[in-house]
Amino acid sequence: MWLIARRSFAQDWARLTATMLAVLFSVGLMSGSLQFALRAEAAVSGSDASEYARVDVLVQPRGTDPDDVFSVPQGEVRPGAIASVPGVAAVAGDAAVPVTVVGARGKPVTPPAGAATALRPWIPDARLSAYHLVSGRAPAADDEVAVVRHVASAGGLHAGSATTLLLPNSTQRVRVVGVVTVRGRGAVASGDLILGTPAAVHRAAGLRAGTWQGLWVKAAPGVTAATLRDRLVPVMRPAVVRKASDVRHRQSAELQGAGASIGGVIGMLASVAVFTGLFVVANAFGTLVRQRTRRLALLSAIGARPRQIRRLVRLEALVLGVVASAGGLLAGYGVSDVLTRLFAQDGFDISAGEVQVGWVALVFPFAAGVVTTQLAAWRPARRAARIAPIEALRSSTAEARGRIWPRLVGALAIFGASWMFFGPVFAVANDPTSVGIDRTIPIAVLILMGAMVCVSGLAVLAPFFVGPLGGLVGRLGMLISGESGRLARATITRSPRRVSSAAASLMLGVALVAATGLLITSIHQRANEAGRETLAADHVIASSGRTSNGAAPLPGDTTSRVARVPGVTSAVALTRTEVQLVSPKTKVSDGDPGDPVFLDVTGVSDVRPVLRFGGHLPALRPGEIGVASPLVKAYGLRPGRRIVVHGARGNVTLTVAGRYRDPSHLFADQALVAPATMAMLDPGASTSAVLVRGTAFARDLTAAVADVPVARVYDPAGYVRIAVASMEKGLRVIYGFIGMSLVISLFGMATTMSLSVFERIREFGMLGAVGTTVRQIRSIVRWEAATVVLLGVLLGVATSVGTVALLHVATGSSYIRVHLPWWLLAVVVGGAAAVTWATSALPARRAAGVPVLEAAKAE
Amino acid sequence: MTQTTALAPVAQADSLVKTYGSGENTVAALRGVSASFARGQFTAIMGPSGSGKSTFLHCLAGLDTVTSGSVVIDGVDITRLSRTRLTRLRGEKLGFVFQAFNLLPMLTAEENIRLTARMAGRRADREWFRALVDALGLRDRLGHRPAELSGGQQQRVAVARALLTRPEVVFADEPTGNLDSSAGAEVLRFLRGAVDTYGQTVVMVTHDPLAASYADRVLFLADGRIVYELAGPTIDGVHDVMRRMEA
Repeated sequence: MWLIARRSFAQDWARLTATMLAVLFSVGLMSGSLQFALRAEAAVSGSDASEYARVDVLVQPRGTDPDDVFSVPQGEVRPGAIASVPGVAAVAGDAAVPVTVVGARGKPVTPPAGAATALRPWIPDARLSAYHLVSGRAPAADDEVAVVRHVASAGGLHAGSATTLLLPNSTQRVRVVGVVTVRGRGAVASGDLILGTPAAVHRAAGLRAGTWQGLWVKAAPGVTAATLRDRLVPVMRPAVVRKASDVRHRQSAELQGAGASIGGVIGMLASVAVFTGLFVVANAFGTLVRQRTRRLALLSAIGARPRQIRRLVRLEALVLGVVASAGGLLAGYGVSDVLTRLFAQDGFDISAGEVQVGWVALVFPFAAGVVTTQLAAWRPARRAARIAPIEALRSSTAEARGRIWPRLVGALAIFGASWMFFGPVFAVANDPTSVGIDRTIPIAVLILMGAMVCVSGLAVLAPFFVGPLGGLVGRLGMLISGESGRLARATITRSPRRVSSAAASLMLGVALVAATGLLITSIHQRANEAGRETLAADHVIASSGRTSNGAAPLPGDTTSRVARVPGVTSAVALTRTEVQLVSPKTKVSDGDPGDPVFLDVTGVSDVRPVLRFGGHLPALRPGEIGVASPLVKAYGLRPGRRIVVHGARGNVTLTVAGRYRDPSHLFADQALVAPATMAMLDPGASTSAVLVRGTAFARDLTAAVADVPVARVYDPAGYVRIAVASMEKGLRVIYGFIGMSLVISLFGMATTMSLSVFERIREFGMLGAVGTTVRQIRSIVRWEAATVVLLGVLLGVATSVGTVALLHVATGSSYIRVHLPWWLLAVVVGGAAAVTWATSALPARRAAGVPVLEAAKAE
Repeated sequence: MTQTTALAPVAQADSLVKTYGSGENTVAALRGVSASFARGQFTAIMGPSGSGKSTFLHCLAGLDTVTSGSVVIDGVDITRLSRTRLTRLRGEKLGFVFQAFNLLPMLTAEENIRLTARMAGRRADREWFRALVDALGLRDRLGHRPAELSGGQQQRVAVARALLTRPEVVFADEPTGNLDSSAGAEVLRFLRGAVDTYGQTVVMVTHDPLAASYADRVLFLADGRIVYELAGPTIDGVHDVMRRMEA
């Protein structure tokens, strides 16, 4: 059997090339995504070097969120008499100010994936400091800093170079005097560090004299961290005293979680590739088995048992799987690189992670590729084993009329299985506490998964549609091409499975393209529309740099610079921070404490001149918060209610002043506060944009912000465009994956179509023998191709429209609408026709050219 | 080999009925055919096109299902066997030579010959293999693919494959149909030789009186029934019967 499988493969490999490429691509996507995910994990969690490595005990302000291990708490701690507590060997004050460093080429330095950059004090005490100078010296003056190695390499900085720091309230010119590593790594778990003199950092953090945001404590020899902590608790009350090792463990646990969730997202995308690969291989092997009916029947006639025939097909799939998977692993490195670059553009830079060559990254995708091909060959193998030996003796292999019921039952079973995904949609949609993007994304993912399963169900049903459609196209063909149209009609209706398996691959491609196109155009249109409707400003100053958390923040003094420009009637800064909702608690039915709810809060002095929000929101006074309508319902934040949120400075009680709507989701998606309230929540809140009203000229504004490297002046339409684009940036990876899946399905289609032409070389020869011209044969193939296009496009567009309609209903989002632009339809139909022509007409041209006698001999 | 065992039936068909389609469109290919085939006997089956001779052979060899009736091969009623057991029986006890399409194009002549034995998981008798290959004049051709062989050589490879497992019965469906007269004669001479030398049982469907004359007896089918049996056929004798049937 092995011999036959090997030889069959050796003989047919050329025809299987496209299938092999398809598998290669899907394994490549899989292994690339896996490598990327592992690398991202390494980048995110691998740098678990902690700046607390030498610290024994940390003293942090009251109200420190024990779950948030990365933000150095911004409350205040007074060292007081801590140094005199027995067992304390050394104490150092700590503070952290969010900062953006401008690199040598004027571009902000992006911190490693999922992390941030902070300005922190240089710790001179060697017993506490984990900072190791690899070049230069420690900062000694207020305008001197040391940077971690990642900042130096990513920003092209070295000891001696001058740079700019963008602080929440100002910009500052500094000189880099040293480069440090922490435990041998170029960055710490929380991201990049800029180390200034303690005095400079103390000032930048806006701390009162004698206070710090945290204290690092070293225990004297012989005193354990636990003992020291217990001694410090009563002395330092009300501050929180924790063992540094606990904080370090929490940090690495958190990082691993983050890495795993990135892996999850990528894994899900990779599963699209696996699905497409499965689909394509199943289709190709189905065609292959049909084509080899006679040979398989002969084997059965001379004593090959069904099991042996099944094994034969599977062995061949194994050879294909092994060869293609091995190639796919190589392709994976390319894919991983592309992904890395795509994500880096979005500020998610994982280049700090090492390229994975561990066995997981190799074995898992390889095994997945082999298993995929085996699964895909399962049904064709069974069908092969069922071929009656008598088939070998028939002079022409008429396609057996497939039984209707098993096909219907199979399709129904697949549609049933799709409820595995559609079912949970209701649960998510009816969960009152999920709002906005947290609700839309899971629903969309579930529906898309379900839709993929439905596509396979439709593929099973496809032969049923071939008869009527083929009749229709055939009739048209008879009108236009006369006799060859009649012949085409006969060939189409005689072997519906051949047409339908080609159409199935096309359907998958069309569905992928059309669904993506529908989503893009709908989201894009609506976002631009809503953005333009909402934005009333004449100019917008925004940042052109990016970090992993979105746009790089603007320095806080941008607004005052702009306000001085003649002709500006109002300049309103939008600041952003995230707070945790402490009270009211979210309602959870089954007794579990719900996930913590975070609110994205926008600080703005007066929205009315620059933004048109819906709803009724009075002018916000300090201590008041305006809440977006969907959240009012989800969390019970009715106007008049007092709520408690936990911000960077601890718990703050606020009163809900009213509700509003931001139809664009661009400016204040969840909550609004006045600048005074923002100062209570997070004094370091970053400025995301300055909205300007008035008759000022853009060039004057540009001149006013000229020395802020990341600031750009946009007109309203331009700002909306970049804001929407940055919102859509996350989708780029999805487009990439869909594009690659499309390529896979095209390969699948190429296999199926060209196999179906080769399958009929003999038939074409016969037609040639009875006087059919080459031109007529081509016309037959063309009409058949037209049927394939019609069927594939109909099913594919129907699937995508259905999917998007389902998305619209389930999410209720105004961003997802079923609106099929005519140009998209034209592109899809044109593309489908071109692809079908390329994959069928070209082989047909060759097949039709085969001399009659040779064709008659072909098996 | 004694006379009694030589004449004991190794294959037997009893009231075989085979119909295609259902309702008004029913077409009967076999309308109750009974025949027995003795060990070591060469039987030819003849009849005009559509007489059911090929269908009869297929049913007899377990390649096709029967509508009613039974086929007993070496004491086993093959119409009651499961697919797997039927296939195993075909591989072990029966050999086949078809008109065409009977070699796997990707295997060499030798691999094709050994294929049946390999699939049954047995090692072929090396002596026997050599004897067959020499008798069929295939020694120099073993490494060639079917496409590199002439029609006669291909058919001889098929005959060698059929005989290598020493089957109880060899079924041949128009084995000379695609061959010129000299290549056909070679194949027939060899089949005849196998019957005479090794006591091989052969059942062959043909429409060629010359081919039928190599057999020990000829069964004539018409309209799905056996209408005549001719023992010790000659070319003229077969022609006579055919003329009478057409009249």
